[in-house]
Amino acid sequence: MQTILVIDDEPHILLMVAQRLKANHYDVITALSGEQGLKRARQDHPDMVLLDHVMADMDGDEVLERLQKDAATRNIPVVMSTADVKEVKIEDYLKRGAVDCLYKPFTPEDLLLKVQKVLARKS
Amino acid sequence: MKKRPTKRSPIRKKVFPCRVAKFPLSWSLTEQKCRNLFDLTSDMIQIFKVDGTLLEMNAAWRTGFEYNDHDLANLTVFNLLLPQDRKESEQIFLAVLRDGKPRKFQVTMVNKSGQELAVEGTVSRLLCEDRPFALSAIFHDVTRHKHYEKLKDEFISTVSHELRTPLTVIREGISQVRDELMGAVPEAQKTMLDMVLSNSDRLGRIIEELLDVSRLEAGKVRLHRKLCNIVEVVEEVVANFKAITKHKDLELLTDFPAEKIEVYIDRDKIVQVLTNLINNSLKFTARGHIKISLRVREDFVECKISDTGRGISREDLAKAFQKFSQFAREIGPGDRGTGLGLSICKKLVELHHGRVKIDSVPLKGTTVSFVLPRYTHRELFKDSIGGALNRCVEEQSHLSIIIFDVLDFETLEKKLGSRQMENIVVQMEKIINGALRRVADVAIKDTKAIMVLLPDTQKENAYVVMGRLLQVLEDFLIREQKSPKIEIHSSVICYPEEAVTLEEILDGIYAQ
Repeated sequence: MQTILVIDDEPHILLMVAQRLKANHYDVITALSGEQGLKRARQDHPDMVLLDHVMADMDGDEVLERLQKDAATRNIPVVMSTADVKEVKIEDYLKRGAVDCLYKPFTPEDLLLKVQKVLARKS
Repeated sequence: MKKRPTKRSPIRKKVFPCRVAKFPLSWSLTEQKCRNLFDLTSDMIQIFKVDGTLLEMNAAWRTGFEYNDHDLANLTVFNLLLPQDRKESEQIFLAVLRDGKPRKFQVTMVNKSGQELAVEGTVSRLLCEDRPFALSAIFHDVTRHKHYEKLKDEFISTVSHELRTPLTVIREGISQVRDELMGAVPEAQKTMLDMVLSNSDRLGRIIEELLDVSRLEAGKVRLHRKLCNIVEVVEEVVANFKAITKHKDLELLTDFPAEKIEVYIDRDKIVQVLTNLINNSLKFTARGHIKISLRVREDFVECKISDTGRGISREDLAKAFQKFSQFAREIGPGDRGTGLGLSICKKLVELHHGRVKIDSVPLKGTTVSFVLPRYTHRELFKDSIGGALNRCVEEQSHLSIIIFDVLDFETLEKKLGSRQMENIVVQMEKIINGALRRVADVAIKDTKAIMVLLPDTQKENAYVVMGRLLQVLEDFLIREQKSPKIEIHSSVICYPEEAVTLEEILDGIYAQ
């Protein structure tokens, strides 16, 4: 089973996304903050990370940067999830090392397709 | 001074019935007049040598930068610039001195108190006895303007986040209950949940429209244009609607030319326009048909969406493209919408340098038509490079352009035929576009060359990308196994390292 680490500081979103992914036979690790997320990524080596862009304690950008810097987590594909406007951000994310983007509000199909796509590309 | 005899011609008397005030003779084109204007203008003016020595500054400059004459002895222009901008600025100064062409610039300077001033203006060359001797920079402070721009951006961004986050939770939560992830759900409850879901989607669409309009008005929407076959784009959109019209007493008709029509467009935005316009027709048409037609004219493509709906009255028609204008829709369930759709369509089409118009006969039907310009390859290059260049100047970033030429194109064309060669170049462009990693990177083809625009990319990185793309192209050409062998020549031009204006870039490209 493939493992997905979801990092989001909104507990409801974390719950929803985890539930949906679990119902679709993925293993899910959740983290409520950037710091927690980095720790779990290093410890548990997930197959993919779903990272929220705007978070209170540590910005999604910073988390992404630190994931990239750390040799242990560098190769884990990261998808940025954002409620922000489309064109402005996607290039930045890709430049900083994310592999894709998921726009809120997303449908279950959006989420699942994106996860499938990224995990397929990885293998 | 000799007094000149005043002449009053009869014509003059007619045209100027009142007496025209004359300047005092002592105040004609003299230094006094120039100096007065020099110090009265609110623009900052600085005259300096290319090595940075400051020669003369006007009153507005002295106020803005807070330096007085004592300070100026040890000051150069480069002291006023941020360290990271000095080299680039020096290159601009040298270029202006060399060719005399004025150049616009936007840069952050620092005044005596250490305060940063965002300025925007023009650097030009000054001649003395026909020899270049100094540069002049005339600019104004845009710090406050930039501050408001930033506030606007943050507002749109915050609103967007705060509205979309709870909506995601609502949507996903309902969806999970309805999908029985938390236990079985009786039919009646499913129906109720479907209704809630469809309304939450509707809320999502309204938020999107509001945000679209805010961004369009704030000038924040950037087009990512590529050459597309517009027939294919329209066909795709129409196919999405076929399912809906099947259930209604409506026919969806199309009228497209057989050949493909290549237009330089942002595909997603045009899909948005088409979807919006067809949706509108659906709202107002109970029976009959909706017809989508495409016509090629010499310089533009025209797309018409006409329906046999209830039409729009003349008064309403006049306000059709205004924000929040809505017309009584067909009786029955359905989205009332925000009244922003047509306004958004108009703005998106106009961003493409196109035009929209609407015609209607009440009770008979409505036709919305829009035109999009077609570009020749040269205009396309110029337009796309110009756009990218302006953005890079604005953002003070680099722009790199890779050019892939097919060597000995004419000879190959004679041997393989022009259709074959055209096909090969088309394929090459497709392959390169497929290999580009960022949304803002784009490849555009000419008859025998492909140009790749890499915004925000410095020379070293551009060479890396070039190497990678060249490999992809060579793999493709090996697979094609053409005889004679097709060879590609590649080169890179960078702003601002090698070329500072659009003309210099185009010269660089066509010199290949």
